[in-house]
Amino acid sequence: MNYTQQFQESMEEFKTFTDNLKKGLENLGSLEEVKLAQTPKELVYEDGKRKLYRYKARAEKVSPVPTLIVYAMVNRYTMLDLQPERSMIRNLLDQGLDVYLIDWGYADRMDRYMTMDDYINGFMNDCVEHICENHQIDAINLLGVCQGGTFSVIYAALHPDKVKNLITMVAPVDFETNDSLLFVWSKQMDVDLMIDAYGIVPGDLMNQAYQMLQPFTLTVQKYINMVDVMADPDKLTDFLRMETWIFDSPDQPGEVLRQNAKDLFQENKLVKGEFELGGQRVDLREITMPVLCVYADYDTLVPPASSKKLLQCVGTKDTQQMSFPVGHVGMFVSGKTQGTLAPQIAQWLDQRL
Amino acid sequence: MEDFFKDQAKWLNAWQEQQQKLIQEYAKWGEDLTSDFTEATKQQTWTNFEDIVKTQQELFEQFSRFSTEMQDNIQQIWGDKLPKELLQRFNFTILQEFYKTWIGSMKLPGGLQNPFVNGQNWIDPNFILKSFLSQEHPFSSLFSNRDLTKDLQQLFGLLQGSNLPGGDLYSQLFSTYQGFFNQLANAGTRQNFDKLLETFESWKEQADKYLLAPQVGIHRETSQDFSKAISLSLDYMRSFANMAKLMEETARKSGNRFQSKLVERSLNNEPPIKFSEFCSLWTRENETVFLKVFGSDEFAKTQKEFVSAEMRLKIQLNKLAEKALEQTPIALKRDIDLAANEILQLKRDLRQSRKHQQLLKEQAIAAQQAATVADMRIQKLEAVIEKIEKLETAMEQIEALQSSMDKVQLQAETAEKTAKSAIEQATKSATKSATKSATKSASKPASKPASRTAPKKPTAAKKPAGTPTE
Repeated sequence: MNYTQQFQESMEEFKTFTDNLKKGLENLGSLEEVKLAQTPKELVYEDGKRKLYRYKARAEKVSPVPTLIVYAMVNRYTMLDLQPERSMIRNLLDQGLDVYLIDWGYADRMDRYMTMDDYINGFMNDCVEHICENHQIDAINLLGVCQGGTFSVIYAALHPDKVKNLITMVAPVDFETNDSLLFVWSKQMDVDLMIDAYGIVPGDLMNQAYQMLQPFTLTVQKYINMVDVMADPDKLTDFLRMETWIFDSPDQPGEVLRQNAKDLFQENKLVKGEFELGGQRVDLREITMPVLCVYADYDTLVPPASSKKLLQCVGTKDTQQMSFPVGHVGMFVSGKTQGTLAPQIAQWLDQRL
Repeated sequence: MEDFFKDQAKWLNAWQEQQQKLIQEYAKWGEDLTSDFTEATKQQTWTNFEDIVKTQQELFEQFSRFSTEMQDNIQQIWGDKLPKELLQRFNFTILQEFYKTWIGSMKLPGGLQNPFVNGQNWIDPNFILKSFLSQEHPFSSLFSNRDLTKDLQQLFGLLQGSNLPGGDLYSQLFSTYQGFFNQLANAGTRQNFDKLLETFESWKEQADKYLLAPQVGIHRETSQDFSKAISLSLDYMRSFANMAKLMEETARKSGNRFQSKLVERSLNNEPPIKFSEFCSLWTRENETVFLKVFGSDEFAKTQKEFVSAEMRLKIQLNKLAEKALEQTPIALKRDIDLAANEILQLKRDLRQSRKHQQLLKEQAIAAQQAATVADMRIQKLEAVIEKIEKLETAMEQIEALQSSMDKVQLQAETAEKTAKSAIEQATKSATKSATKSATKSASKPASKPASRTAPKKPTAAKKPAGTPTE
């Protein structure tokens, strides 16, 4: 290849880039509202901002034991149902699961003093009891995602009689590791000062921290790459869906963040058996139901080591771990997991009915 | 073609050298600025706090500025959050008038004339002090060997803040901020950052001595709150500068790394000619350096200091804003927090109550079920009791019969005894008669008497009615 050719190629690429940009700007102007979480669901229980949804069944044969999904509070559950072709919830429904989901809502100043106890022993327990009563059963399947996974672990340890099977997905349990920058920074933070200053910690502040995990990729490169897809309205919509989800970060109730950061990230009390909730010590050995631990090999937010540790701490021998060659978010939206993740979870549950 | 890439590599090398030259120039420029800044600060810092308020008029002006400052703060903090109509009601400039009225209404000891009466011109406090002393008030004799005027002037100075050359303390501090930031941005090298910071630290130390000193007077709390806010903002600046220094250094390292990669690839005939390739390389090389720094203890500590300083300042500014608004009918954050906490507590109580109610309900159902079982048992018991009662009646009847039987038995036995006795008696009588007869027969013929005295069959053999058959 000679210089002229290279120059020509370079110029052609630049022309394509500018064409895409031009077309993309036109597309941006004509796109309809970007909608997330479109799988049909029904509101079955609520307590103020916090809601419990039940998804409409998509399979003929539905599992007799419902599965409650508990998502993190730091982001929105819409990630699990980003779009029809990339929806873990839809995939689980197709596998015949009876899916319920907790929506923590958007916390505001009135939630300033809400504690982890209020969320876990309060609303989460209400939801579990509501489902049990509705189905006339004693225990349900619990599927916790990310921070919701940590909540589920705590709940299962405190209420083992109400959890038939426990599944954690990319959930941090052991905070000793320094494989993630978030874990490193959190250990140094003066959390009390932050909570006292903000009361309700802005979601954008959390987002800034997430962006710093890949400062150039997430703030510059991502938008350069966006130009490549801008000319295609469908791809552009997909991009915008993800963008909408990323920056749709609810503010965090101060007291929840305080206990989360101090007791878990800084003092690693859960694994040490020193974590307390509502005056009760949380003993992971009380988790006697079957446990499935799902983690992502390339997770920069929740390192695999932090998730896998759970299986060494629980009181059951019926444990299994499952990993996928993706990142934290890729677990739910990557093409690599769309056809495999839900069937494997469903199969694992099916064997433990 | 290779020549082209070699040329390109040369050009990049030249570019890198040029960059280094530029950096050196920046460094020199920064050093000059630092030097100027240091000199300027030296001139100001050591003399700033020596001069204090001289006249009441100046005090009044300071108070006016303070009011204006507060007005501006309100506008900045709440300007975009409150309706304009409401904001217009926040007129803190009336505080000046309040101050005048307050001073004017003061009654001075010893019949001294109040020089601050409304409508009159402000008079230098020295005048009143001289007047005070000139009347040889007994109180002043205590201070006769001291310069009371100076003492009181210092007290006034503490009340309202010192008067720096060229402006009041607050505006001076703010303008110093601006100057510091400007110079920091232009410093160029880590050495210059360090020098600037050193100067700044020294200046802050002096400022803090004054700012955080105990204050007196009716506005001491407000004055202290503002002073603390200024001191904390200086802390914030310092931590910001430290973070900026670290970032600047990292950016320089990552930039060098990227340039080296460009040179390396050009020398290897693999220059990133395409725009996308160039961007990817830029992202990758820069990010590698930054992530390494982000994972270091130094960054974690610097970040902690920076965020903590920001939070402390935020808390103090929130306090000032709340203080400024607390006389208004607007609900403050702390009011909302209080209400939120109470509502939450009520919700918790409600949840607890619901659970308790549920427990009671379950207990009531259990009790109801137990009562039903008990009812059934009672009914069964009643039936048993009824049977028992019947049995008891029967027993009584049996007992009565038994008693009757006993009586009859007794009667029978009595009758039997009577009969036996009668028989025995009859037998004895008969035997006696027979014996007599026999005796008589033996002595007399016994034909007639013998037939007349022959014993009859006993009548007692007749059985009594109801006597059981043996």
